[in-house]
Amino acid sequence: MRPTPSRFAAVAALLSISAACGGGAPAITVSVSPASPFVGVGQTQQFTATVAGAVDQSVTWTVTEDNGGTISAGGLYTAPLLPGSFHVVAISVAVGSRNGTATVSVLPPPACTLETPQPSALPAQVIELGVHTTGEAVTFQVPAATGSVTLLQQGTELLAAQSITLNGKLSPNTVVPATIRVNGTLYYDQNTQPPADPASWGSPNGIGSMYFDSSSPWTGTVTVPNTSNALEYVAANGGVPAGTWSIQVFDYASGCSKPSCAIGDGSTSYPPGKYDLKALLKPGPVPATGTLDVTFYLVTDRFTKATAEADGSMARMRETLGAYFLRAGVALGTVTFVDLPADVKVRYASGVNVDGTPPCDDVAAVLRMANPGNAMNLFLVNSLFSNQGGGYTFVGLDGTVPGPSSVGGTVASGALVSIANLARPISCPPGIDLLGCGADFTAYVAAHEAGHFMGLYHVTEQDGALFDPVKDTPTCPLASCAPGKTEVVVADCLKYPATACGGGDNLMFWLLSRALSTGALSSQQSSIMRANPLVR
Amino acid sequence: MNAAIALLATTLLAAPPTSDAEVRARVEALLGTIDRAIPADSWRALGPAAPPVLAEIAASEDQMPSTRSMALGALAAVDPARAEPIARALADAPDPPLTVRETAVRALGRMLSPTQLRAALAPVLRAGKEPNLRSVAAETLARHAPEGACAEVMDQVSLERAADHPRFERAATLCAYRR
Repeated sequence: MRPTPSRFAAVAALLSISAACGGGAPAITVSVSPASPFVGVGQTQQFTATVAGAVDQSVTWTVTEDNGGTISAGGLYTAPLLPGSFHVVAISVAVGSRNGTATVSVLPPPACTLETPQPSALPAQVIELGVHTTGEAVTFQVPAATGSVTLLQQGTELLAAQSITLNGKLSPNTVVPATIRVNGTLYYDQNTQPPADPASWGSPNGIGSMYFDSSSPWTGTVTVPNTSNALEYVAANGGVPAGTWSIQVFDYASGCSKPSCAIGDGSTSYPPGKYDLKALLKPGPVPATGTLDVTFYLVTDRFTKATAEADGSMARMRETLGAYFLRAGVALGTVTFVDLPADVKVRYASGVNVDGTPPCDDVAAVLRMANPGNAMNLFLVNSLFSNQGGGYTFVGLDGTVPGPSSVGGTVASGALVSIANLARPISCPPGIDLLGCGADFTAYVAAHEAGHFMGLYHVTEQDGALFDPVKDTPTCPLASCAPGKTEVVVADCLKYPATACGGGDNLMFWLLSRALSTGALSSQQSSIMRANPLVR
Repeated sequence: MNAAIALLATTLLAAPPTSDAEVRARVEALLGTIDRAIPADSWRALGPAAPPVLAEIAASEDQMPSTRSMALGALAAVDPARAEPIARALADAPDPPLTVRETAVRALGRMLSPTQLRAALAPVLRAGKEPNLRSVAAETLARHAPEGACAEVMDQVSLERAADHPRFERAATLCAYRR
């Protein structure tokens, strides 16, 4: 226990008053313990009082505020059902004018309030489709020569389920169209399970042209093109499929049925999900080059906007991030640092916990602080940790794949990047140096997470059994590239084209090797990034 | 074959690397994870030579802080006896990066009994120089030893500056809703 300066001052003041009144009866003071506890709504807290300077230690208890809870004669406080700050007072029975006070903070239940639909920063390119309930069909027209279509779905029914329990496991209530049809032809069906390598599947003119594999409750996004099939269609036709697009609004809860699936934890009824839908059409063709603005949000308490702008490691990180984006033909545009409020910096100073179930977890709470605008929002945090398993540390995390480009303020409006390694060492040699330069390491992670936000999946997943929907990124199957192992690592996946084991050096490989990763991006990965509305 | 059986089969069939050099290479490779958790079974599949490498990396000042934190978390999962003294030393040391010390405090929560944990973290909670470390100690105690420690945690919270209270929100919430 370390008294703060203000406590020292208060004690000193009290002593000086006692001394000034010396010679008379000792001053009677009442103290209440604990002095400022936190209590949940409806919960109890035992208080004790000490009456200094009096033989009679008895007190009477009261709560100052109406509706501030109740307290028994023995000091057992029961919090009200609404959160707030209240005062518990102990009054000396011996000297009724003497009393002590405790301040009680009554916390709300662990839950969250979700945001209302947020606007796009590109209104001229947006078709507003209104609010629709799951199961409804929505149509809109896509003109010829449209470079990309981004479907933005934002929840509006606050009482809808935020999770489902599938085969006993709690999962986010992801929003994604049940189907997407263009001129009557089925291009996407969430009930159709793609193969492990979706790049080898389907056709440019139907199923297999659109791909989705992400967790996106409350706010979900689909951007087309995000597959080789769709890119081939765009190349052959000068744009995405034109005509009448028809989507069926869907979330996992609406497709959830017993016995394998329950809505929420299965104990409560929920209204069906409702979603605000917007279609964001980016004029074609997909550009050969482009510019991307980046906003760095300083969740970290190690920097302010001023110190971040002047810091050498931050400058190096920005420079290297720009170098990685250039590999996709994307130039780094305006870079902005945004200082988040002091209480936010303090709250997450010891790291962002990634354990919660979105959209009511720490990650979502951070991401929704993104301002309106069409920038890649990167939230710089001191660390990312999980209490699961043995305790995990992460260096980056994206909200959803892809993210809701051009829309700030949602639970998925950006990605998190740890700056735990940023300043090690203080200076970095010329050229990208992942081995020794923490700023370059941090830039790599930032580029990787930005790649996710812009629609790129891991080229090969951890288990070596799932691959991205892009044909020109080599795969690295566990069975043939790392037989007998539990994961594929970078070194296993650097043997292409001599063997069918490649992609280890790709920016979107699931691991970063400080010695072997180059941050390579394929031509089609680069096209997917440039087709994203973030790139101007 | 369901996913759990498949995972078990993969783990059982996994051939440990043949040389210490190969084990070290595999350990270092997996510590390059960006946004995926490495399950304890993956570390165990590397065989008995892996924990010493993880211990060395966790304690090494030459490693990136995030790599040290990852190594310590992995070691706590697969070899707590080896991890505990390292975590204790890191939690108390003034020099390691703060993120490594925070990981050490959290790791102790997974390795010690509630009584041991209270004894180990009480000094950090009361007298840790950095408020971040005090808040991580508070959260770890609230999570792993709530019955005995929440009173101490709440007392400490009441002594912290009001501006630092958001730092202790996770601990306060865990204690407030533990019943």
